[in-house]
Amino acid sequence: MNAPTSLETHMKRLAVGWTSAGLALTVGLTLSVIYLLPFHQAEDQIRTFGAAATASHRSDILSGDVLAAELQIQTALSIGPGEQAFFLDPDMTKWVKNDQDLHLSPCPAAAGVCRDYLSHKVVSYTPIYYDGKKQNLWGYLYIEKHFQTNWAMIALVMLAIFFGMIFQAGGFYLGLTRAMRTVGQTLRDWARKLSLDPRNRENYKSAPFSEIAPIALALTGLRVEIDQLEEIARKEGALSTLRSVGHDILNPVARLKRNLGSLEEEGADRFVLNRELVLSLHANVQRLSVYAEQLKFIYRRGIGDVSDECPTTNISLEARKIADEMKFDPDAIDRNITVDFKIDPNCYCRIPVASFGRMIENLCANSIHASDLGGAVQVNVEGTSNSVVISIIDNGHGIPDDMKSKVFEAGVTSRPNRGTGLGLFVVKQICEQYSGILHLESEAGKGTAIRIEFPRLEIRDELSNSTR
Amino acid sequence: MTILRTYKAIPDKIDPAHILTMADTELSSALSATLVSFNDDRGLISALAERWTISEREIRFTLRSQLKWSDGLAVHASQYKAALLRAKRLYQSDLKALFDHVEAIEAPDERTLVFITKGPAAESGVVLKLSEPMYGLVALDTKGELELKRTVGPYYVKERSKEQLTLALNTNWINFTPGIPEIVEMRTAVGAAGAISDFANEKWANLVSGHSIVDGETMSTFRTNGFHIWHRNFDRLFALFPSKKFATKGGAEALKYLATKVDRAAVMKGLTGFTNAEQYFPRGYILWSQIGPTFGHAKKPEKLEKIRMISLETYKGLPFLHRLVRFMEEIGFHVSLEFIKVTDLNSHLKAQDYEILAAGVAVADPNFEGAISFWVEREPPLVPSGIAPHDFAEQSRKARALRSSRERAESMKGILIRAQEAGYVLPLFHFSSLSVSRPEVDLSSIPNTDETIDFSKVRIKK
Repeated sequence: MNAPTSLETHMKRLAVGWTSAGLALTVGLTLSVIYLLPFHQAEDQIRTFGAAATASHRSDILSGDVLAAELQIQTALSIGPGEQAFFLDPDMTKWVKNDQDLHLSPCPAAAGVCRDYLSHKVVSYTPIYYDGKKQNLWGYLYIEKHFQTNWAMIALVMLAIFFGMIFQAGGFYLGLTRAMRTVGQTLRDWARKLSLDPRNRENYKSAPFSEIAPIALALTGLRVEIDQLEEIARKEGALSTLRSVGHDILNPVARLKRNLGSLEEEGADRFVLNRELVLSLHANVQRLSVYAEQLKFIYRRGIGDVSDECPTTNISLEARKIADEMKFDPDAIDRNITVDFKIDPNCYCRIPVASFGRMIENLCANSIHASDLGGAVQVNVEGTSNSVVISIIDNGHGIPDDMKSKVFEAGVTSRPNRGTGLGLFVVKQICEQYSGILHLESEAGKGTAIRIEFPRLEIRDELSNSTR
Repeated sequence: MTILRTYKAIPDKIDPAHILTMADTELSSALSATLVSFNDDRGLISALAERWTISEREIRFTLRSQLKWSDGLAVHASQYKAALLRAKRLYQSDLKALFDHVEAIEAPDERTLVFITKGPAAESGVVLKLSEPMYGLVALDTKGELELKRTVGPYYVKERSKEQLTLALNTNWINFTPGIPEIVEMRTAVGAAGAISDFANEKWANLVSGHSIVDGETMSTFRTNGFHIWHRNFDRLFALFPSKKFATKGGAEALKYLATKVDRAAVMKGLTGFTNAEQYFPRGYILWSQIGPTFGHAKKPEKLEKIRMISLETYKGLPFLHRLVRFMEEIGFHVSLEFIKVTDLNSHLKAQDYEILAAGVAVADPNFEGAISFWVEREPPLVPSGIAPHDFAEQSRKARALRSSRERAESMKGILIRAQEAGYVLPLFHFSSLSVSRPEVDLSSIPNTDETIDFSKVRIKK
């Protein structure tokens, strides 16, 4: 495939081509006009002269003084070699006889005035009548005359036109070249700007010429398409990762559970087991299992594989359980962080127990992590007539303002070497899945309060009992 | 559809072949027709002749077919020949311009009229001269007498009494078209002074002609009341013509002296319609000369008898002649002024019973040869001749004998210049023929190139 021609070269070729054609056309037309116009003018002059001469010499002619009239007309017309002016009778013979042979132009008398292109002459027959009603023809005044061509003037005019055209064409060519260079440079600058910051859609809108606005619009559309494709690819990549990570975690966790059970059965006979340590191991294995389930949930939701079925959960009960468990979180114990709760009874919402647990555990774990030694984490469940509000409040480090909009995105973590960055992302996913509304209040250095509001269900006693 | 025309005096004798006054010209044009005529641009066109050929010594006219007299009888070429021979017989001296060139006239058949010329026919100017109304076709009775109740012109004489002349339209006329006034009635004017000035008092008339020297107030009244005014441009000359006796016996010197002294502007003070005449012919006319007259040092004659100056009654009401007489007396002349009737002019010319004739004459005649011949060759002439170099009649005859029309014109240009320089004529001012009609009579179709009012071109508004 040949390299495309530059716009400047293309325009130069166009300019040269059209200018040459224009020059040729102008010169051709001018020559035609110069050749034909004198004919036209000569026709008018001869016609006018013929009419005037026959009118002014009419009395002389009709009273017989034809020769004198003829001589005067020949003098007035400056008849030269190859030219003729004389009177003809109606039979086309000369009124004034002489020895010269009569040669008349092939133009017919009826034509009045006509052109003899070959001999470069104009020929006219001006009829003369005896009477005013033009009934009795006396004869004709015949004029056959070269017309004067001012070649010097024509040459000057041609030169003036030619040089004028050349000057105009040169100016046009130079101006066009400069314009095209400017246009090319401007387009190059714009393209460079786009390539340096392709994600900035404002760059696409700043097209330098209205003529390329459609291109800018198309590029903007492409950018949007690319962004969307990137987002899809990113999400799909993340989901695949989650799936494999969750799968990889669940297998060793299952083995850990079996091993821990075997240790309890066999060790009870052989060792004295620290009961609290065993319970803690169970809790952590359970948490690992929950994390793995969370990852699977995210993956399934990402690919749209989520069941529409949604069981009712006693939020008050589940929140209390998790708060109790979180008191034994190793981090909380290690850093002397207290976990308290204040829970209104009989608050029911439409959310699976596991999902609710994952959500609250994640939030509590984050609060514990964000708290300093001796910090406090408060878990509240507050029921209103229409909703249930679950609050996890700490007095920890708080979240900087520039991070507040990002903390619910996947991969964002305050513990780069320890966390997966999926905790709050999972919280947000679950909220959205079950019509929850997520509120974040935080101030750097003072603490964070996260509130989740779910629609409240009115549950009869037998139903509430069945879920316990 | 009637033209009611007043004249200062209806001519006693009406003969289209004999023209002395503008009234004669008018009547001649109305009662005869010529072989050739002029169009509105003064170009020659055919009239009674359909066409003509000119050979070495012969001009052969072919009359129109179906040419008829006013009474419906056919016209024969022999009748035209007879009319021309009659004119030649009666008015030889006035018609020299034509007949001096013509050897014979023949009518070989009913439509052919042949003029055998004395010199080369093409250079004779005969065709041009035949456009003059005095060479028109008139009817003659069996005795050869003029018969005006039968014409080929636009009108024929219907009735004639002492007080009134009535012309009726000839529907057989070659240029007859509907709309031409059917009747022309003519009466002698009531007023004693200039006809134009008296027009307001002529209750009966709707058309009058005269000269353009009219006081401004009268002209203003005509224009205000929607009257039509027609005039030619300075086609007439007012001059002092000495009698031959006076001119040859010192009078020429007196006129020459007067020419160097006369203050034309003072003489014409308060009048309009004229221009001072430095030459006999007006500027633009073929005989006008680039080189005007020179008088050198003119001496006042030592001894002069009392000068009897006669003029026409037409000019009686105007002050300029009285002023001229006063001026002449101031420089030492003794002058008696007397006004005569225009009808008596010819008899005074013949009697030569005056020293100076102060009169206006038409000079812009397209037939220049006829004109110059009329001034100097007719008997008695208006411009007299003396001995060489003042033999102007002889000079005119010699000039007329030249071969080409152009040569004749060049030669004739100087004759009246020389007459002026010699004191044989003193031009005073040029003026115009003028006609005025009441609003219902339209003169706008008459070109200024016409010599007089052609009745057939007048239109009456309905």
